[in-house]
Amino acid sequence: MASYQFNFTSLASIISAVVILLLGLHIFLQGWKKKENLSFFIATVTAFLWLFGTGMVLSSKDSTLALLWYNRFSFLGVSFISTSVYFLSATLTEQLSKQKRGVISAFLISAIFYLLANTISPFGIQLTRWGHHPLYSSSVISLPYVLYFSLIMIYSFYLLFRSIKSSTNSLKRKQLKIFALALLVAVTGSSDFLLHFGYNIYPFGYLSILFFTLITLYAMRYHGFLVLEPAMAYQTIFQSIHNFVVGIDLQDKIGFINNPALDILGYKEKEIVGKPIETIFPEEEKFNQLKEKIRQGEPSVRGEESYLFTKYQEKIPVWFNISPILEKGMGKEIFGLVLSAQDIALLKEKEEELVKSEEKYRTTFENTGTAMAILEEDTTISLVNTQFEKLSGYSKEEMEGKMKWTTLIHPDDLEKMREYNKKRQETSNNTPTQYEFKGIDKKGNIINILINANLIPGTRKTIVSLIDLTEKIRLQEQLKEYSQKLEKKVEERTRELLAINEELKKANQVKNDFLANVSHELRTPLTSIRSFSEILLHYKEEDKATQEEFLEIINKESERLTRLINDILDISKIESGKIEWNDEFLSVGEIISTAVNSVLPLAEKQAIPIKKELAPFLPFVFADKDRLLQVFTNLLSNSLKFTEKGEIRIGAKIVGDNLLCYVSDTGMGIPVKDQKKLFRRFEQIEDNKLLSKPKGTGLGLAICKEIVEHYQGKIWVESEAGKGATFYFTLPSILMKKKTSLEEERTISSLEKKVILIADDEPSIRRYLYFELSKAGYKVIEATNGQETIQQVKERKPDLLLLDILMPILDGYDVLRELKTNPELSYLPVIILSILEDKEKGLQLGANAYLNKPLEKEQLLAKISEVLEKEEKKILLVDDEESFVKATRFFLKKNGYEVYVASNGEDALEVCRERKLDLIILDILMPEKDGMETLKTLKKDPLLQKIPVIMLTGNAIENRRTKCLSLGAEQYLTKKEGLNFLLEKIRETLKNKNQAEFIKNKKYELWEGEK
Amino acid sequence: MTNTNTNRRILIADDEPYILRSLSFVLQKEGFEIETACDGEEALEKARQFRPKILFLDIMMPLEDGYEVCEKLKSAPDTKDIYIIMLTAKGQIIDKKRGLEVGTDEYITKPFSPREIVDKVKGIIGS
Repeated sequence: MASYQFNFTSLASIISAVVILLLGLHIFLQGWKKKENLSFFIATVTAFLWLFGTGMVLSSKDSTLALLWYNRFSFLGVSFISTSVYFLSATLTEQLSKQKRGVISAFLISAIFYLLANTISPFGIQLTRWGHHPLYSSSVISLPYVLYFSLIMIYSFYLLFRSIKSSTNSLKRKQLKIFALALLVAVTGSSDFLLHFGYNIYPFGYLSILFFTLITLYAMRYHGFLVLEPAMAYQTIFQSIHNFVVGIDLQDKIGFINNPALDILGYKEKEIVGKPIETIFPEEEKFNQLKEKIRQGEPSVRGEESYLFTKYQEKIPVWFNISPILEKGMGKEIFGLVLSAQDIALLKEKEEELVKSEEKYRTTFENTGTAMAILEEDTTISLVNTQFEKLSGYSKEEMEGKMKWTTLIHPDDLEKMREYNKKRQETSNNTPTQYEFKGIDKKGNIINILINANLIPGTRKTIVSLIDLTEKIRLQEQLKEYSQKLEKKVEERTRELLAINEELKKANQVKNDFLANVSHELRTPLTSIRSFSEILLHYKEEDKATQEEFLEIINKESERLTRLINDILDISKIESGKIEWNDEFLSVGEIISTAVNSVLPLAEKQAIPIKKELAPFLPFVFADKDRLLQVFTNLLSNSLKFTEKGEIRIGAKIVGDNLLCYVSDTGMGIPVKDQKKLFRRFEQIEDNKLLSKPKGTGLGLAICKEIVEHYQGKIWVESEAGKGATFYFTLPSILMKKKTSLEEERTISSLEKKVILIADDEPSIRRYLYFELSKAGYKVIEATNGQETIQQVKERKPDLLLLDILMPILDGYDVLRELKTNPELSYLPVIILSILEDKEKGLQLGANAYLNKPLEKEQLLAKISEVLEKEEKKILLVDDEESFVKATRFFLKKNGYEVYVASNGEDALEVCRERKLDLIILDILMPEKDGMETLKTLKKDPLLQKIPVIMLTGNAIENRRTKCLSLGAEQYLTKKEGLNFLLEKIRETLKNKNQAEFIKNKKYELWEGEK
Repeated sequence: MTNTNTNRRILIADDEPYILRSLSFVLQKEGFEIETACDGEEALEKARQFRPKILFLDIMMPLEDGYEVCEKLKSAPDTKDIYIIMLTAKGQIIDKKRGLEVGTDEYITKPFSPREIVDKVKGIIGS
């Protein structure tokens, strides 16, 4: 201590230095990371070095020691103090980043000055009253240094003033003003320089530096610079909360940020602090709005949703709020904001899940397949599904949130519904309730509904699901109907089976009876034979006459037995189908002659003439010669047996489509009651008066019946007791068209054969045409003059007329004119066959074709088939509903059909018998004879049963359909299905009919080919 | 006297003339008194008048059949003693049953032998 002598001045300097350093350290320890604190600390260090060094220089007794203290120690502070002030100013004015280079250069220059002062040109020393003192004038660097120092200080002031001027924040301005003041005070310390230059001024620089330090400290501590650095305890809290906390300064820059925020954002603290808030919070507008609110005095703004933007361009959804940082003490000045944000990613996820699950429920709700709705407590419909829309007829938009549930309830059930509703609301255990009610849809239709209502747990809402019972009830009824139908069917079938069983029983009985009868009939002649032969053997002494009588009896009875056996065999063969029918084309006339010849001896014996009555142009018959002969012979001998006197007539003629044969006698006749028995086996109407005649077998007429019926004919007797009897039988006219052995084919073809009327006065031509056309498969009728032609057309309704022009009474043209002007006859296609070459006139009058004689066969046949093909199909429409008939008739005519109309069943049958129809349309509901009855009659008639029938009805009833079809109707339609549908079915039916015929013909051709 | 007379009377009822002829021929030859009928009504009438010892009765006859005739005769006191022989061509059991029901005494199935008949008649009446 001997080298130092402390005085007041030196001690003041040293104490100031230590105090300044302690203040600096205090700030430094509170947060040395913060630039403001660091730069303040550096400034205090430089001030310390300067002042402490100066204190030691002043105290040094030895000038060398003093010089050493100054150059080495004190000047270190002096050379750097300007730079550190510059650094502090730049920091406080937030210009550091801009002044970075300046600050660094300043430090370097300061360092150079220090080095120079300690090497090339050290300062000198002088002794003053206060002790040793450095002497700047002794060194060349003094002046440059002073200049450098002034420059830096002036620049620092410039920075401060500029900042004070430009800052919008009054607080900030205040802070900077205080600091500037402090700096001005500090500058006064530089008055020491004057001393250094040899001007001895009272040294107060040390104190001014101390004041500067204190003022700066005050400004930092209480006016903001340091508040941005929370106290350590707060720091801990601030770092440990999960929310993201960001302090924002008045320039909207990030002042501080806590670790959770850094973690999620991916920044390091130094990277982000000082960056504009937009860097992490891009929704500027939102931020500004809130800031504005806060500026207007709201304490904080909460609960906004936004997102944070991370370093890696990710968005973090957040809830955030902003609170102002208020100036302490002064009150309402805002000098910063705290943005606190909460990560809501998880929340968002949950929310999305919720939306999804809601969607799931909504989908379920939509797609349950039943109508569903959710009702509010006051029964407002809040949600419906598509099914519900369909059921109610209202749209979602009309119902949801707008309509009351009660709108859909039928007034009758409203009370009931309310009661149920009340009950349900009261029932605490939330049991679903089910009940039926009547609803009304948008159109006002009543719908039967089964409702299932249920409170949604935890709410006062009700979920209802509705089932439309209307359909169910309909289905139930349908089911019932089906089962009834089935039952009926079973019943019907059972009845049928019973009937069949009964029939079988009967058939069995008939068989037994037949056997008994056969036995009886055989035993009778056998008895005679046996008796008389035995008598002859035993009574040989009898006279010859008696013996001959007996032999004759034996002979007769054996003949009878033979006949009987033959007949029995015949009838059983016919019946069992074992008989061979050797069908061939037969002339009826020939057969009749043969039959007559065979009974002629007997007839002559009885002196009864037999008259033959044969109509001209009798058709050929395709049948078994022997069988047909048998019929005639049986009838003839039958008649002869019962006829004592008078005559027997036998004949054949064409009636309609049939060949009618008859055998008529003048005998005893047959009482009406016995007429039916006649054709039964072994039923003989003989009495004792006929004992002299050969006894019948009782099978003859039965055999006739079997044969005639085999050929689809009928046999009957017309008689009155005592007035003779006439036996008739018919044979469907079987002409030469189809030489087929298929009997079915034969009958059909005969029924459907086209009828051609030949009108010609020349017999040879008629004969020729008759022959050719018959051979070609047509049925031919004839007329010999014009009048007869018209007559025939009216009566026979032919399909085609071959018309000669030159004829007596009415000529061909007259006939044609007459036909074409009569609406009933105009349908008839006409081919003119004439020697006159006047084709034009003929066609003009309405003939379909005109051919000249002599005729060429092929040409004629081609023309005929062409004309017949063209012919319109004839449809009979049977209905009593006038409007329907009118419309249908018009429609069908337009579609190329010839339409006949009848309004009831009886009329219909009449038309059927008169016309050759292709199709019948039959309404079911008609007065008198209804459709079903008519259908039955039609299908029983061998001449009409092949005409296809379409049944029509107003309402389709399924079992009636079955009934109709089973009765033989081709189609069963309802009127509702429309005329086009009817037309389609007509075409289909006619086509089917043609096809069926075609196939039959083909079959025949094949059969012929094989042969 | 009356007894012996009635003893040898036989009525034959059948609608078949040759059967009447053959039966009456053989029985006449044996000295029996023969009457014939060719339907049921006639048979009844003749039976009542003629009072035969034996009646040959065909079943299948016009007007009234053999069963009816038999039943009527057997139920009347003055004709119930007539010995009735049914002539049947049916030869079925059911017919015999019916015959026995109405009181038929015997059955003969056609075709029969005239000699058999004669023997049968002799057995009943005595020669």
